[in-house]
Amino acid sequence: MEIKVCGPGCANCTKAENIVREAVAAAGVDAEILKISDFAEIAKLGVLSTPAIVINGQIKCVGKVPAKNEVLAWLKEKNC
Amino acid sequence: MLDKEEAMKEIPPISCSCPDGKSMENKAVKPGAGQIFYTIILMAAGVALWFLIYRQLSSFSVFLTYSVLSLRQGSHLGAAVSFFLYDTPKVLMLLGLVIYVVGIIRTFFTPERTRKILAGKRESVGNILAALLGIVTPFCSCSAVPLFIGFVTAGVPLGVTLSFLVAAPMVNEIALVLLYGLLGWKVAALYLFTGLMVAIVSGWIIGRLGMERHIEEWVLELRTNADTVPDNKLTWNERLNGGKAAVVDIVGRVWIYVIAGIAVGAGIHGYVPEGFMATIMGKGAWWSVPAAVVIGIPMYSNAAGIVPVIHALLEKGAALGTVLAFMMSVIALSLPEMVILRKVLKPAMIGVFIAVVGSGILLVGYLFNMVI
Repeated sequence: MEIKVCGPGCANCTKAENIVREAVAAAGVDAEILKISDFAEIAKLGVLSTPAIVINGQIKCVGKVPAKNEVLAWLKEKNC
Repeated sequence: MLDKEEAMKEIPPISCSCPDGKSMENKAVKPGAGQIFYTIILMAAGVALWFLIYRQLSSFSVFLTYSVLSLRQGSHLGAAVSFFLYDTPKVLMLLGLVIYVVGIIRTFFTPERTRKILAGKRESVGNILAALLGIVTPFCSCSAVPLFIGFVTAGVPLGVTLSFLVAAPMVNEIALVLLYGLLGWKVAALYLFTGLMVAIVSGWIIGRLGMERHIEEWVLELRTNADTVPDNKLTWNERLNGGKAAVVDIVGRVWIYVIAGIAVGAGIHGYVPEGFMATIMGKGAWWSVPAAVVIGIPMYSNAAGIVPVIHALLEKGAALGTVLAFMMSVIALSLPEMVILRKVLKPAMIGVFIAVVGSGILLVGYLFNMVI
């Protein structure tokens, strides 16, 4: 599984990344977490507002820091 | 790749107003009719209590200053302290209420939806729509670049995109609430109207100038696709939680600036002699408007900190136009945002952007000084 956290590096983007890391650790799934801070790449993914979470190429949330529960739910979707 | 990452680090960590979606946790339970009823009762009671407390604030601050702290009536310190004790709870209460309502309204708008509305719109209509949507679309200045790219590559005209980017920070709910609370609804309405006009007209002018070639080439080569973003279908419960999250997030972030701003304002209120500001910021000083705009650009403050200061300045004889121009310049033209936008716009374009928006603000300043 590949998880992309998009954000130029403001406080909320870092928060989002940490939450994703925590969730991945808690779920014990094998996932590669990439922090995307290049604007061109962010835009190519179709993201307009950061922070955004993209899992396996599918945008899960934009413009907000997700709750850990939300991330855990996304991780489960992909696992079954 | 490496040098690109280096370049990214140059962006200053500006105070970012991205919504913190903590409370948007998925509560998948559908509320029953009983629960809705209960929520409505609770909210009505809350609003009633809010008004009750709000109306007592003035007498309470007087009581606290002169009876509890037993400061002398008419003293500098007494004036400053009662100003502070009245304005702080008043402003914080107003902020809480309005941010809650705006937070709920904002759950209906996303940048993606706004883009869909704006794509392919004609320029004049598009500029007006963009400025209006700039008020209600949740937007954070760190997202300015992806948003810019997303808008422009999806066929939103450059001028329309810029109308959005000007209006979004300039006409914000915090500024309006504070202006309303401290200076009355007329000043707030004037600010809302002229702020929108500056955003609409400067976007339109830049559109007329045909500046498209001053967008960095790599932006125009991009293909983006925003239809991949899931449309958020929220329940009312989630929307109310969105409002609550906005209050916790925004008030949690700005309360310190509000208090600092009110403290400075209180100092000016208590100690600066009446009419002192008239000589340097009054109507007679023609140069004060451009000076206010120029000084405002490098200053980066949110509306929360600047309005209480403005309130006090006005009291001491500063002209309304000069003061509004200063405020618009501080919150709409900020150096950090220009640095971020430089990633996608060439220097000439940044220059034109500052010049056009700055002239608009200047006009607003002179207009008010002349009319009022």
